[in-house]
Amino acid sequence: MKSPTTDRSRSRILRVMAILLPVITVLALLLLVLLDDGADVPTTFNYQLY
Amino acid sequence: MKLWSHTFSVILSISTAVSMLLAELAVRELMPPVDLMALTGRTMSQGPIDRWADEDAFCAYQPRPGIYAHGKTVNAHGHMSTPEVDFDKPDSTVRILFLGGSSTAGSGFNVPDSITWPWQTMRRLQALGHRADFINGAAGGYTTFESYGRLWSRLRFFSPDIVVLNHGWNDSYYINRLDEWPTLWRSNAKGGTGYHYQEYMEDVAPLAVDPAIARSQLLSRLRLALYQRPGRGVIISDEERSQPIEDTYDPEVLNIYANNLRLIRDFCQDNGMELFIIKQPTLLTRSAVDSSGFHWSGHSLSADCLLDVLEAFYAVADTIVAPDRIIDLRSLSGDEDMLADQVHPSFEGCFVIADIVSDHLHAHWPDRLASPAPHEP
Repeated sequence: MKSPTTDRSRSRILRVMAILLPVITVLALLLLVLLDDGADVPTTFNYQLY
Repeated sequence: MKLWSHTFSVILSISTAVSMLLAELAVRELMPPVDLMALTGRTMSQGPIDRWADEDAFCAYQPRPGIYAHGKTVNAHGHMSTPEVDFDKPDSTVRILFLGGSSTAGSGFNVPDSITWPWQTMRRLQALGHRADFINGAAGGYTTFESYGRLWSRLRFFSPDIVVLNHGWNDSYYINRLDEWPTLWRSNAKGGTGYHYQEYMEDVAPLAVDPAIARSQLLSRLRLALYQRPGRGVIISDEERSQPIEDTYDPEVLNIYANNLRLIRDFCQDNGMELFIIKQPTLLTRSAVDSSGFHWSGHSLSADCLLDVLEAFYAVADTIVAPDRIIDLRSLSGDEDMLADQVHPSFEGCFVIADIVSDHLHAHWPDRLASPAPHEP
Protein backbone atom coordinates (compact mmCIF):
# COMPACT_ATOMS: atom_id res chain seq x y z
CA MET A 1 0.00 0.00 0.00
CA LYS A 2 1.38 3.38 -1.00
CA SER A 3 1.69 6.09 1.57
CA PRO A 4 0.07 9.51 0.97
CA THR A 5 3.53 11.05 1.23
CA THR A 6 4.79 8.95 -1.70
CA ASP A 7 1.75 9.91 -3.74
CA ARG A 8 2.28 13.62 -3.05
CA SER A 9 5.95 13.33 -3.93
CA ARG A 10 5.17 11.53 -7.20
CA SER A 11 2.53 14.10 -8.02
CA ARG A 12 5.01 16.93 -7.45
CA ILE A 13 7.62 15.28 -9.65
CA LEU A 14 5.09 14.79 -12.43
CA ARG A 15 4.00 18.42 -12.23
CA VAL A 16 7.59 19.64 -12.39
CA MET A 17 8.21 17.31 -15.34
CA ALA A 18 5.08 18.58 -17.08
CA ILE A 19 6.43 22.09 -16.82
CA LEU A 20 10.08 21.42 -17.57
CA LEU A 21 9.74 18.98 -20.46
CA PRO A 22 8.15 21.44 -22.91
CA VAL A 23 10.38 24.26 -21.70
CA ILE A 24 13.55 22.24 -22.30
CA THR A 25 12.30 20.90 -25.64
CA VAL A 26 11.28 24.32 -26.94
CA LEU A 27 14.52 25.84 -25.68
CA ALA A 28 16.47 23.21 -27.59
CA LEU A 29 14.45 23.92 -30.75
CA LEU A 30 14.93 27.64 -30.27
CA LEU A 31 18.65 27.14 -29.93
CA LEU A 32 18.63 25.06 -33.12
CA VAL A 33 16.85 27.86 -34.95
CA LEU A 34 19.03 30.65 -33.57
CA LEU A 35 22.27 28.85 -34.30
CA ASP A 36 21.26 27.81 -37.81
CA ASP A 37 22.96 30.15 -40.25
CA GLY A 38 21.46 28.51 -43.32
CA ALA A 39 17.91 29.59 -42.72
CA ASP A 40 18.32 32.82 -44.66
CA VAL A 41 18.38 32.06 -48.33
CA PRO A 42 21.63 33.51 -49.63
CA THR A 43 21.43 36.27 -52.15
CA THR A 44 22.90 35.17 -55.43
CA PHE A 45 22.24 38.07 -57.83
CA ASN A 46 20.82 35.54 -60.23
CA TYR A 47 17.26 36.58 -60.50
CA GLN A 48 16.55 36.52 -64.21
CA LEU A 49 18.91 39.39 -64.84
CA TYR A 50 21.55 38.44 -67.31
CA MET B 1 -4.03 8.26 -10.77
CA LYS B 2 -6.62 9.37 -13.26
CA LEU B 3 -6.74 12.78 -11.63
CA TRP B 4 -2.93 13.02 -11.78
CA SER B 5 -2.94 12.08 -15.40
CA HIS B 6 -5.48 14.80 -16.13
CA THR B 7 -3.50 17.37 -14.14
CA PHE B 8 -0.29 16.30 -15.89
CA SER B 9 -1.88 16.80 -19.33
CA VAL B 10 -3.24 20.22 -18.43
CA ILE B 11 0.09 21.44 -17.05
CA LEU B 12 1.94 19.94 -20.01
CA SER B 13 -0.37 21.70 -22.46
CA ILE B 14 -0.12 25.05 -20.72
CA SER B 15 3.65 24.78 -20.39
CA THR B 16 3.99 23.81 -24.07
CA ALA B 17 1.79 26.67 -25.21
CA VAL B 18 3.58 29.24 -23.06
CA SER B 19 7.04 27.96 -24.13
CA MET B 20 6.08 28.02 -27.80
CA LEU B 21 4.63 31.48 -27.47
CA LEU B 22 7.75 32.82 -25.77
CA ALA B 23 10.00 31.11 -28.35
CA GLU B 24 7.90 32.56 -31.18
CA LEU B 25 8.27 36.03 -29.66
CA ALA B 26 12.02 35.48 -29.25
CA VAL B 27 12.45 34.46 -32.90
CA ARG B 28 10.42 37.44 -34.09
CA GLU B 29 12.50 39.74 -31.91
CA LEU B 30 15.92 38.29 -32.70
CA MET B 31 15.71 37.23 -36.36
CA PRO B 32 14.57 38.85 -39.59
CA PRO B 33 11.21 37.52 -40.76
CA VAL B 34 11.04 34.74 -43.34
CA ASP B 35 8.10 34.20 -45.66
CA LEU B 36 7.93 30.46 -46.18
CA MET B 37 5.17 30.74 -48.78
CA ALA B 38 7.24 33.14 -50.89
CA LEU B 39 10.45 31.19 -50.39
CA THR B 40 8.75 28.07 -51.73
CA GLY B 41 7.26 29.87 -54.72
CA ARG B 42 3.60 29.68 -53.67
CA THR B 43 3.21 33.45 -53.42
CA MET B 44 5.13 36.25 -55.05
CA SER B 45 8.24 37.13 -53.15
CA GLN B 46 8.88 40.59 -51.79
CA GLY B 47 10.79 41.26 -54.99
CA PRO B 48 13.86 39.14 -55.60
CA ILE B 49 16.16 41.98 -56.45
CA ASP B 50 14.90 44.12 -53.56
CA ARG B 51 17.14 41.93 -51.43
CA TRP B 52 20.30 43.24 -53.00
CA ALA B 53 19.54 46.28 -55.12
CA ASP B 54 18.20 49.82 -54.95
CA GLU B 55 16.22 51.28 -57.78
CA ASP B 56 17.84 54.04 -59.77
CA ALA B 57 16.27 56.29 -62.34
CA PHE B 58 19.42 56.39 -64.50
CA CYS B 59 20.32 52.71 -64.62
CA ALA B 60 17.10 51.00 -63.43
CA TYR B 61 18.82 49.70 -60.32
CA GLN B 62 22.15 49.65 -58.54
CA PRO B 63 23.55 46.80 -56.44
CA ARG B 64 23.29 47.57 -52.72
CA PRO B 65 26.55 47.72 -50.74
CA GLY B 66 27.12 44.55 -48.73
CA ILE B 67 28.57 41.07 -48.56
CA TYR B 68 26.58 38.37 -50.31
CA ALA B 69 26.69 34.67 -51.03
CA HIS B 70 29.27 32.98 -53.25
CA GLY B 71 32.06 35.38 -52.31
CA LYS B 72 30.35 38.38 -53.93
CA THR B 73 30.61 41.86 -52.49
CA VAL B 74 29.29 45.27 -53.46
CA ASN B 75 31.45 48.20 -52.36
CA ALA B 76 30.25 51.37 -50.66
CA HIS B 77 29.49 53.01 -54.02
CA GLY B 78 27.41 50.11 -55.33
CA HIS B 79 30.11 48.57 -57.55
CA MET B 80 29.89 44.81 -57.66
CA SER B 81 33.09 42.78 -57.19
CA THR B 82 35.20 45.91 -56.86
CA PRO B 83 37.57 46.86 -54.03
CA GLU B 84 36.66 50.07 -52.21
CA VAL B 85 37.56 53.10 -54.34
CA ASP B 86 37.63 56.83 -53.67
CA PHE B 87 36.46 59.49 -56.07
CA ASP B 88 40.03 60.78 -56.19
CA LYS B 89 42.52 58.54 -57.93
CA PRO B 90 45.94 57.99 -56.36
CA ASP B 91 48.70 59.89 -58.19
CA SER B 92 49.84 58.42 -61.53
CA THR B 93 47.19 55.73 -61.34
CA VAL B 94 45.19 54.78 -64.41
CA ARG B 95 41.60 53.93 -63.57
CA ILE B 96 39.76 51.39 -65.71
CA LEU B 97 35.99 51.20 -65.73
CA PHE B 98 34.29 48.00 -66.89
CA LEU B 99 30.71 48.31 -68.13
CA GLY B 100 28.37 45.48 -69.05
CA GLY B 101 25.74 43.05 -67.82
CA SER B 102 25.97 39.96 -65.66
CA SER B 103 28.79 38.37 -67.64
CA THR B 104 30.95 41.35 -66.63
CA ALA B 105 29.60 41.60 -63.08
CA GLY B 106 30.22 37.88 -62.53
CA SER B 107 26.58 37.16 -61.72
CA GLY B 108 23.98 35.11 -63.52
CA PHE B 109 26.53 32.37 -63.16
CA ASN B 110 27.97 33.59 -59.87
CA VAL B 111 31.71 34.10 -59.80
CA PRO B 112 33.57 35.15 -56.62
CA ASP B 113 34.97 38.68 -56.64
CA SER B 114 38.58 37.72 -57.22
CA ILE B 115 37.74 35.39 -60.12
CA THR B 116 35.68 37.90 -62.12
CA TRP B 117 37.48 38.77 -65.33
CA PRO B 118 37.72 42.53 -64.62
CA TRP B 119 39.42 41.74 -61.28
CA GLN B 120 41.75 39.25 -63.00
CA THR B 121 42.45 41.70 -65.82
CA MET B 122 43.59 44.24 -63.24
CA ARG B 123 45.89 41.70 -61.59
CA ARG B 124 47.50 40.93 -64.93
CA LEU B 125 47.94 44.60 -65.82
CA GLN B 126 49.50 45.26 -62.44
CA ALA B 127 51.83 42.30 -63.00
CA LEU B 128 52.81 43.94 -66.31
CA GLY B 129 53.86 47.01 -64.35
CA HIS B 130 50.79 49.18 -64.81
CA ARG B 131 49.85 51.33 -61.88
CA ALA B 132 46.12 50.99 -62.19
CA ASP B 133 42.91 50.42 -60.28
CA PHE B 134 39.45 49.57 -61.51
CA ILE B 135 35.70 49.82 -61.07
CA ASN B 136 33.31 47.10 -62.15
CA GLY B 137 30.30 49.19 -63.08
CA ALA B 138 28.35 46.26 -64.49
CA ALA B 139 25.19 44.64 -63.14
CA GLY B 140 22.93 41.83 -64.31
CA GLY B 141 20.46 42.84 -66.99
CA TYR B 142 22.17 46.08 -67.88
CA THR B 143 22.07 47.08 -71.52
CA THR B 144 23.82 50.01 -73.16
CA PHE B 145 20.96 52.17 -71.82
CA GLU B 146 21.77 51.35 -68.20
CA SER B 147 25.54 51.54 -68.71
CA TYR B 148 25.28 54.93 -70.35
CA GLY B 149 22.92 56.13 -67.62
CA ARG B 150 25.22 54.98 -64.85
CA LEU B 151 28.31 56.36 -66.58
CA TRP B 152 26.67 59.72 -67.17
CA SER B 153 25.04 60.05 -63.76
CA ARG B 154 27.61 58.60 -61.35
CA LEU B 155 30.63 56.75 -62.65
CA ARG B 156 32.10 59.82 -64.33
CA PHE B 157 32.79 61.26 -60.87
CA PHE B 158 35.41 58.55 -60.38
CA SER B 159 37.35 59.94 -63.37
CA PRO B 160 38.03 56.71 -65.23
CA ASP B 161 40.77 56.87 -67.89
CA ILE B 162 39.78 53.73 -69.78
CA VAL B 163 36.27 52.36 -70.32
CA VAL B 164 35.84 48.72 -71.39
CA LEU B 165 32.32 48.07 -72.67
CA ASN B 166 30.97 44.51 -72.85
CA HIS B 167 27.45 44.50 -74.28
CA GLY B 168 25.36 42.81 -76.94
CA TRP B 169 23.48 39.90 -75.41
CA ASN B 170 21.16 41.99 -73.21
CA ASP B 171 20.66 44.68 -75.83
CA SER B 172 19.19 42.09 -78.14
CA TYR B 173 16.27 41.70 -75.69
CA TYR B 174 14.96 44.92 -77.19
CA ILE B 175 14.99 43.73 -80.74
CA ASN B 176 11.49 42.32 -81.11
CA ARG B 177 10.09 43.37 -77.75
CA LEU B 178 10.71 47.04 -77.89
CA ASP B 179 7.40 47.98 -76.24
CA GLU B 180 7.74 45.50 -73.45
CA TRP B 181 11.29 45.57 -72.15
CA PRO B 182 11.84 49.28 -71.61
CA THR B 183 8.49 49.42 -69.83
CA LEU B 184 9.41 46.49 -67.63
CA TRP B 185 12.63 48.16 -66.64
CA ARG B 186 11.16 51.58 -66.01
CA SER B 187 7.69 50.86 -64.77
CA ASN B 188 7.72 52.28 -61.26
CA ALA B 189 7.16 55.88 -60.27
CA LYS B 190 10.81 56.53 -59.47
CA GLY B 191 11.96 55.33 -62.87
CA GLY B 192 13.41 52.14 -61.43
CA THR B 193 12.99 48.61 -62.58
CA GLY B 194 9.59 46.95 -62.51
CA TYR B 195 11.20 43.61 -61.88
CA HIS B 196 10.46 44.05 -58.19
CA TYR B 197 6.86 43.06 -58.45
CA GLN B 198 6.36 40.08 -60.61
CA GLU B 199 8.39 37.06 -59.76
CA TYR B 200 7.40 33.77 -58.28
CA MET B 201 10.69 32.49 -56.90
CA GLU B 202 11.12 28.96 -55.63
CA ASP B 203 14.28 29.52 -53.57
CA VAL B 204 13.56 26.48 -51.41
CA ALA B 205 11.99 23.19 -52.48
CA PRO B 206 8.42 23.15 -51.09
CA LEU B 207 7.00 20.74 -48.50
CA ALA B 208 3.32 19.87 -48.04
CA VAL B 209 3.43 21.10 -44.46
CA ASP B 210 4.52 24.64 -45.39
CA PRO B 211 1.07 26.27 -45.66
CA ALA B 212 0.19 24.97 -42.18
CA ILE B 213 3.26 26.39 -40.45
CA ALA B 214 3.96 29.49 -42.53
CA ARG B 215 2.29 31.86 -40.06
CA SER B 216 4.72 30.89 -37.32
CA GLN B 217 8.23 32.30 -37.57
CA LEU B 218 9.45 29.69 -35.10
CA LEU B 219 8.05 26.77 -37.09
CA SER B 220 9.10 28.31 -40.43
CA ARG B 221 12.64 28.76 -39.14
CA LEU B 222 12.62 25.29 -37.65
CA ARG B 223 11.50 23.80 -40.96
CA LEU B 224 14.25 25.67 -42.82
CA ALA B 225 16.85 24.63 -40.24
CA LEU B 226 15.87 20.96 -40.49
CA TYR B 227 15.03 20.71 -44.19
CA GLN B 228 16.18 23.12 -46.84
CA ARG B 229 16.84 22.03 -50.40
CA PRO B 230 17.30 24.49 -53.26
CA GLY B 231 14.19 25.11 -55.35
CA ARG B 232 13.83 25.74 -59.06
CA GLY B 233 14.54 29.48 -58.89
CA VAL B 234 12.43 31.69 -61.12
CA ILE B 235 9.18 29.95 -62.00
CA ILE B 236 8.54 30.63 -65.63
CA SER B 237 4.86 30.70 -66.44
CA ASP B 238 3.35 28.68 -69.27
CA GLU B 239 2.46 31.99 -70.90
CA GLU B 240 6.11 33.05 -70.90
CA ARG B 241 7.22 29.68 -72.21
CA SER B 242 4.81 29.85 -75.09
CA GLN B 243 5.93 33.24 -76.37
CA PRO B 244 6.39 33.06 -80.10
CA ILE B 245 9.96 32.74 -81.27
CA GLU B 246 10.64 34.87 -84.31
CA ASP B 247 13.09 34.27 -87.13
CA THR B 248 13.39 37.82 -88.38
CA TYR B 249 13.96 41.25 -86.95
CA ASP B 250 13.59 44.80 -88.11
CA PRO B 251 17.12 46.11 -88.88
CA GLU B 252 15.91 49.60 -87.97
CA VAL B 253 16.14 48.69 -84.28
CA LEU B 254 19.91 48.39 -84.65
CA ASN B 255 19.86 52.17 -84.54
CA ILE B 256 19.11 51.98 -80.82
CA TYR B 257 22.33 50.10 -80.22
CA ALA B 258 24.27 52.35 -82.59
CA ASN B 259 22.93 55.51 -80.95
CA ASN B 260 23.77 54.27 -77.46
CA LEU B 261 27.30 53.33 -78.51
CA ARG B 262 27.74 56.75 -80.08
CA LEU B 263 26.50 58.42 -76.89
CA ILE B 264 28.96 56.42 -74.81
CA ARG B 265 31.83 57.04 -77.25
CA ASP B 266 31.18 60.78 -77.43
CA PHE B 267 30.79 61.04 -73.68
CA CYS B 268 34.09 59.24 -73.22
CA GLN B 269 35.81 61.50 -75.75
CA ASP B 270 34.48 64.66 -74.11
CA ASN B 271 35.51 63.51 -70.66
CA GLY B 272 39.00 62.22 -71.40
CA MET B 273 38.19 58.51 -71.34
CA GLU B 274 39.51 55.94 -73.81
CA LEU B 275 36.79 53.52 -74.96
CA PHE B 276 37.35 49.85 -75.80
CA ILE B 277 34.45 47.65 -76.97
CA ILE B 278 34.29 43.90 -76.44
CA LYS B 279 32.61 41.45 -78.79
CA GLN B 280 31.01 38.84 -76.52
CA PRO B 281 31.39 35.09 -76.95
CA THR B 282 28.38 32.77 -76.69
CA LEU B 283 27.68 29.05 -76.47
CA LEU B 284 24.62 29.55 -78.61
CA THR B 285 24.92 27.77 -81.91
CA ARG B 286 22.96 28.13 -85.09
CA SER B 287 19.77 26.09 -85.29
CA ALA B 288 19.84 25.43 -81.54
CA VAL B 289 16.44 24.69 -80.05
CA ASP B 290 15.32 26.45 -76.89
CA SER B 291 13.81 23.53 -75.02
CA SER B 292 14.55 24.81 -71.54
CA GLY B 293 12.42 27.96 -71.61
CA PHE B 294 15.54 29.57 -70.20
CA HIS B 295 17.92 32.28 -71.29
CA TRP B 296 17.46 33.28 -74.84
CA SER B 297 13.71 32.56 -74.90
CA GLY B 298 13.53 35.99 -73.24
CA HIS B 299 14.71 37.47 -76.48
CA SER B 300 11.80 35.87 -78.36
CA LEU B 301 14.25 35.33 -81.21
CA SER B 302 15.30 32.05 -82.71
CA ALA B 303 18.91 31.06 -82.16
CA ASP B 304 19.79 31.88 -85.77
CA CYS B 305 18.09 35.26 -85.54
CA LEU B 306 19.76 36.13 -82.23
CA LEU B 307 23.17 35.25 -83.63
CA ASP B 308 22.39 37.45 -86.65
CA VAL B 309 21.50 40.29 -84.28
CA LEU B 310 24.71 39.88 -82.30
CA GLU B 311 26.76 39.92 -85.49
CA ALA B 312 24.90 43.03 -86.62
CA PHE B 313 25.64 44.68 -83.26
CA TYR B 314 29.32 43.92 -83.60
CA ALA B 315 29.34 45.27 -87.14
CA VAL B 316 27.90 48.47 -85.64
CA ALA B 317 30.67 48.50 -83.02
CA ASP B 318 33.24 48.39 -85.84
CA THR B 319 31.87 51.70 -87.11
CA ILE B 320 31.99 53.35 -83.67
CA VAL B 321 35.61 52.87 -82.63
CA ALA B 322 38.93 52.17 -84.37
CA PRO B 323 39.89 48.50 -84.93
CA ASP B 324 42.50 48.62 -82.16
CA ARG B 325 39.72 49.56 -79.73
CA ILE B 326 37.82 46.34 -80.42
CA ILE B 327 38.52 43.37 -78.15
CA ASP B 328 37.12 40.30 -79.87
CA LEU B 329 36.35 37.41 -77.54
CA ARG B 330 34.39 35.40 -80.07
CA SER B 331 37.20 32.88 -80.41
CA LEU B 332 35.83 31.50 -77.12
CA SER B 333 32.36 30.97 -78.61
CA GLY B 334 31.13 27.39 -78.49
CA ASP B 335 33.72 26.34 -75.91
CA GLU B 336 31.93 24.78 -72.93
CA ASP B 337 35.07 25.08 -70.80
CA MET B 338 35.03 28.83 -71.24
CA LEU B 339 31.32 29.50 -70.84
CA ALA B 340 29.09 28.17 -68.08
CA ASP B 341 25.98 28.77 -70.18
CA GLN B 342 25.03 30.67 -73.31
CA VAL B 343 26.67 33.89 -72.19
CA HIS B 344 28.28 33.74 -68.71
CA PRO B 345 31.97 32.93 -68.43
CA SER B 346 33.03 29.96 -66.32
CA PHE B 347 35.83 30.35 -63.79
CA GLU B 348 38.32 29.19 -66.42
CA GLY B 349 36.67 31.48 -68.94
CA CYS B 350 37.23 34.44 -66.62
CA PHE B 351 40.96 33.72 -66.53
CA VAL B 352 41.21 33.37 -70.31
CA ILE B 353 39.12 36.50 -70.93
CA ALA B 354 41.36 38.39 -68.48
CA ASP B 355 44.42 37.20 -70.45
CA ILE B 356 42.95 38.44 -73.73
CA VAL B 357 41.68 41.76 -72.37
CA SER B 358 44.84 42.58 -70.42
CA ASP B 359 47.07 41.66 -73.38
CA HIS B 360 44.97 43.86 -75.65
CA LEU B 361 44.93 46.81 -73.25
CA HIS B 362 48.66 46.46 -72.67
CA ALA B 363 49.39 46.31 -76.39
CA HIS B 364 47.16 49.29 -77.18
CA TRP B 365 47.77 51.30 -74.02
CA PRO B 366 46.81 54.89 -74.82
CA ASP B 367 49.95 57.03 -75.19
CA ARG B 368 48.66 59.84 -73.03
CA LEU B 369 48.24 57.56 -70.00
CA ALA B 370 50.99 56.65 -67.58
CA SER B 371 53.22 53.92 -69.01
CA PRO B 372 53.91 50.77 -67.06
CA ALA B 373 56.85 50.94 -64.69
CA PRO B 374 59.87 49.02 -65.99
CA HIS B 375 60.26 45.61 -64.42
CA GLU B 376 62.91 45.17 -61.78
CA PRO B 377 65.79 43.10 -63.19
